[in-house]
Amino acid sequence: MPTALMSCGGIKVRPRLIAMMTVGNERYRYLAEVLEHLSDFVDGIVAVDDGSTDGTADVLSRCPRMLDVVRNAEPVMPVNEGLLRTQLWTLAATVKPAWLVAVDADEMFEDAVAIELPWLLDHGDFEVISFRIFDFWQSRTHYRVDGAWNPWPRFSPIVVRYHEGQDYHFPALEIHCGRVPWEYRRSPFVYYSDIRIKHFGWANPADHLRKYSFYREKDIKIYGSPTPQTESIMAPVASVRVEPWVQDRSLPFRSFGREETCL
Amino acid sequence: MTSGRVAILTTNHFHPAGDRIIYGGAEKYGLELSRLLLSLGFEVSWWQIGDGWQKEILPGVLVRTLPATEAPFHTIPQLNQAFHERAVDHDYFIYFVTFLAYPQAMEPSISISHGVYWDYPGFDATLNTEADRAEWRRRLWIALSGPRRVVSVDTATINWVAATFPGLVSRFEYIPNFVDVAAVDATEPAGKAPGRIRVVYPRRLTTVRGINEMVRVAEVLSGRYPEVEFHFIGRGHQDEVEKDMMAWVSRHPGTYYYWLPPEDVLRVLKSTDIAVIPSKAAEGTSLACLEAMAAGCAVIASWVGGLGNLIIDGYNGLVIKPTVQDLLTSLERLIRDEDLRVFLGRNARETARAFDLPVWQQRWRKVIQSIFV
Repeated sequence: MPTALMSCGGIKVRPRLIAMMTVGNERYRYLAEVLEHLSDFVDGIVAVDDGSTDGTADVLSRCPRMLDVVRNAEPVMPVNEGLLRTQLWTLAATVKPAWLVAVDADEMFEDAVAIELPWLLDHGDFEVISFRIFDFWQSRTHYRVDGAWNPWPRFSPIVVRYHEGQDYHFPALEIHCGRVPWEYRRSPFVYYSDIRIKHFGWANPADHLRKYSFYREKDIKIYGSPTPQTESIMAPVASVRVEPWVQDRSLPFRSFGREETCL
Repeated sequence: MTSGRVAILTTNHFHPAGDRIIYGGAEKYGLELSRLLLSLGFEVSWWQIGDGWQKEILPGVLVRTLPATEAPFHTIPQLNQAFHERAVDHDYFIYFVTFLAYPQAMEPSISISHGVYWDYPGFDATLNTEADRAEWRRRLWIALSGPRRVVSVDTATINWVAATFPGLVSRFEYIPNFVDVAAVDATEPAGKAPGRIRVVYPRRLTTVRGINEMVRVAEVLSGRYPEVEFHFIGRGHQDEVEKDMMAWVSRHPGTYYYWLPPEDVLRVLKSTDIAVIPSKAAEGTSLACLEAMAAGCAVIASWVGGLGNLIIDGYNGLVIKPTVQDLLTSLERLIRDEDLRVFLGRNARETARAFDLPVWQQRWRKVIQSIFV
């Protein structure tokens, strides 16, 4: 069982930032890289392993920051994403962190996160920190920008302040239920961060047909026909617009000559 | 029992769609004014352009929205009219921007001038004929005549009014902008590598703030002085501008673009050697300039708007014409002359104490208590 208190120099402190993620057959995708990335700036990670059969559990168990993993014998995601997200939230809540970052197993922040995020978490006037998510398209060098793929006008709530004892809810949706509870999406106290998130879920063309088929089937069941966004996954190359990723920004604010403090 | 209900009318604390806070000096001013009114026992609500949404900006302080689509002659009579209909259950009124008090001002009311905003080159083109310009002046006169008091953040505006509408100047009260010196003093500086010189442009990415001139100067000097860091800290009004700026810094070593909450901008300013405020127009007594001064930066500021109320050339900063050449010359001078940087920064820090937040609060308290009774 995870503990609500973590040791820092022999003193037990409440974890400031915990990452939470659902994973499903991620061993040969981006998981190891993502866990290493997260370990640079979070105090701990919790995960729900949603019926993986490819050894994903081994990757999770090797991560020193991993606090707890719950395993589903059968995948819940194909049945109801809302249930899976609720399961993950319940697990994360047992750690009683000050803040939670809700990431997917194929997402990474740009480098500036290690400097900026600890600063943002110091503030008392935000409940939610939202970020732009860039969908890398068939490569790790370009992201997609046509139609609803355009990341620039769109900020998503990713980091949220956790309040012990408060009731949280996910909408009862099979897909697209959001990665943080509904209550945060209504919060007026949002900070819109300049830190970009790189999403590699579409970086490998081999994933496209599988994901398209999944969302198409769900769309037909829920809406009666595929949504334009789902159809756009298989759009002809000529109608897909991409932009090159400009390098990760890093900021020159490391504490020179001073000890890093415990989180 | 409260002291009464205050309704404050502004244009856009948030983007009119409600999805993007436009956070600059004026918005910071609005928050501090709200806190002051709350401390005096008033209930506070804000009203702005929008399509029906509302948001809470402080506990118990809502921003509500009113419909308005047109802005003839740089006024928004639709918004003014809607405010007069919807805010009738309030006791006191503040027009957060002077022209919002056209054509009618609620009783009793105060308006605020954040500086001359009609000094940018394109302004003249927005009023094509002498008749249009006369109509704009007539409307401005009406807007300035209605409220019982007009609080101006700088003397440039008051002097313009004194020359243009002499009879109105007695309505004005000069309350320069503020900086929370204690908060600045308590802020831990961001780290900086030894031997580096940090130059910061802590403004939005807009032409009137001199972004293009500063970008050009950074292009030239970053190649000449590899030990200098150039930081651009602030959002653009369009996504495209932010995207272009990210791409630009990626091509220029030693340059950085980002934005931060105001408290974290202070961290950076506390480790900054030179702050640049090269505004070309629409400037009051810039809060960014005051924060840079309180942080002990050597400030290079233009002569525009109210900046002359803050900076004395050669004593607590350098005053320039906001051109690439003047900015480049003065910046290079400070990069090369550490003693001058330290001298200007020390005096700037002392000067900032005259603009400390409690001083501003006391001045405002006096105005509020004389009008809202």
